[in-house]
Amino acid sequence: MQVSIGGDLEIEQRLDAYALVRLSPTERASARMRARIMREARLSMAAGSTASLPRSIYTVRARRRGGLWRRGAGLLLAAGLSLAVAGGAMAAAQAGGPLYPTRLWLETIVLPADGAARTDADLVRLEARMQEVIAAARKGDRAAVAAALLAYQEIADEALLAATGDAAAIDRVRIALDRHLAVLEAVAAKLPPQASESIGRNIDRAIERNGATLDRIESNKGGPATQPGPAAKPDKTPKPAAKPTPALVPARTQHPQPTPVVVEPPKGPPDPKPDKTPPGHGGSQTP
Amino acid sequence: MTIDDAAIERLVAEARSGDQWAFGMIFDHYHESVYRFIASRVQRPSDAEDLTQLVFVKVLEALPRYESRGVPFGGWLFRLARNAVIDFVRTRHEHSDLEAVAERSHGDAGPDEIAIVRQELDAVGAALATLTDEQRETISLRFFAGLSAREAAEAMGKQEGTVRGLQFRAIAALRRQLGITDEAIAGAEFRTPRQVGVTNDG
Repeated sequence: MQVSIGGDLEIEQRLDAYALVRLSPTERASARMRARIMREARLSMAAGSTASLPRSIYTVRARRRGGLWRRGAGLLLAAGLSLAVAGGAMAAAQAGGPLYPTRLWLETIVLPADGAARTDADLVRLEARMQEVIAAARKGDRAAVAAALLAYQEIADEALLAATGDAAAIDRVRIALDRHLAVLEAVAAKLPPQASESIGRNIDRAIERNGATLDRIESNKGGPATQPGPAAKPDKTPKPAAKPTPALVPARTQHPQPTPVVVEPPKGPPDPKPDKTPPGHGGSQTP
Repeated sequence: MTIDDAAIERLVAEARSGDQWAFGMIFDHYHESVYRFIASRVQRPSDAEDLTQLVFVKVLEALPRYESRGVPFGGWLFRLARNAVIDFVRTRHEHSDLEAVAERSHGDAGPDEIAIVRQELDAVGAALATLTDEQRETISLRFFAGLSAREAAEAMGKQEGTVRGLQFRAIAALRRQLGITDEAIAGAEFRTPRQVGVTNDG
């Protein structure tokens, strides 16, 4: 922007101050927007289609203004998901299928806005994705494993974001991630011989990410609220230390026993690839 | 961090080929300026947030069809943002920014707004409300979003000279509204330093 002299400079300074104080998004708003947009990007770039995106973004607004009926719908969602996991869903809506992104989107419509109900629903969704990973790995379905793991990671990020500032909720998510980490390790160790190497790589990457997320939660304990994902910005205002909840928070080494996975002999060596992390994301980058 | 135009074009090309990381970088680079532009045109911060997301979803949709052809990406992006705001205002029957800018100033002051600064900012909000739509849009794109005159012209679908003219008249009107004269500026030299750190990014 060109700098003019005298009064113009004064005007520019006042407009800059106005923009800075009155028009800039909060750190939290920026983190929220990024989480949602990147979720849409993952969905659209993974599916190669963006047909349903605008509607899904509007559901964000609808969700925020949600009422009691959505909480009820959340319970229905939980029940429905359990049935779906137990009985199997339509083939097209299974992980890796053409309707899988739509199914995931439908799940988000009825998510409770926040609080314990939201955490409940997120944990149910995480569990569902984990079951899909196990089932797909058992079948050696590479695309399904990748799709389910991608969805799992997004839900984990969203769950942590929704739990921000709620130590108990973060602990519940952490415990679930910890357990899933053990499950993934068991799956990776027992992949069937016909499973492709890429399945192993995907699972190894998911293990790596889950581990990193858990480490991040641990390191944030007693500090500012946890923000999900490598791209999330830290809270502007540090929050007080989380209350200790010893009964709910087993030590990192106290892994529950991995869920038995009915998959056969070991596979080749893992070949984890680190994700790209946007450098300097935390800063303000107004062009 | 600043990213030059060539780097932006590279990121856009990578995002077009499905690179999520590149798209994330584009979002990081532009989201604050898009939000500021939108926030200056709609009433509620929640609407600004929703619309900012909508703009980036539209970017996702439109990226495969984007061709630079000498048009700066920022101008293209802000054209999407501008259209999103226009659609929003039209469908909501909301007169977005005449009184809203002034309304925004009251009641929700943050901790970093001390009394003197608050008065100054209220005055700026009120002065902005007196501009014409085009003048205000120009100010929003040039000062709040930080676009170059060329990018602002692309976003508004006007000639660069027209945008410069709008900006000139808008600043003159703001000077009048805010009582900024050469004498006032000379007097201000003797006042205490400003309490809000502002920058001129050139």
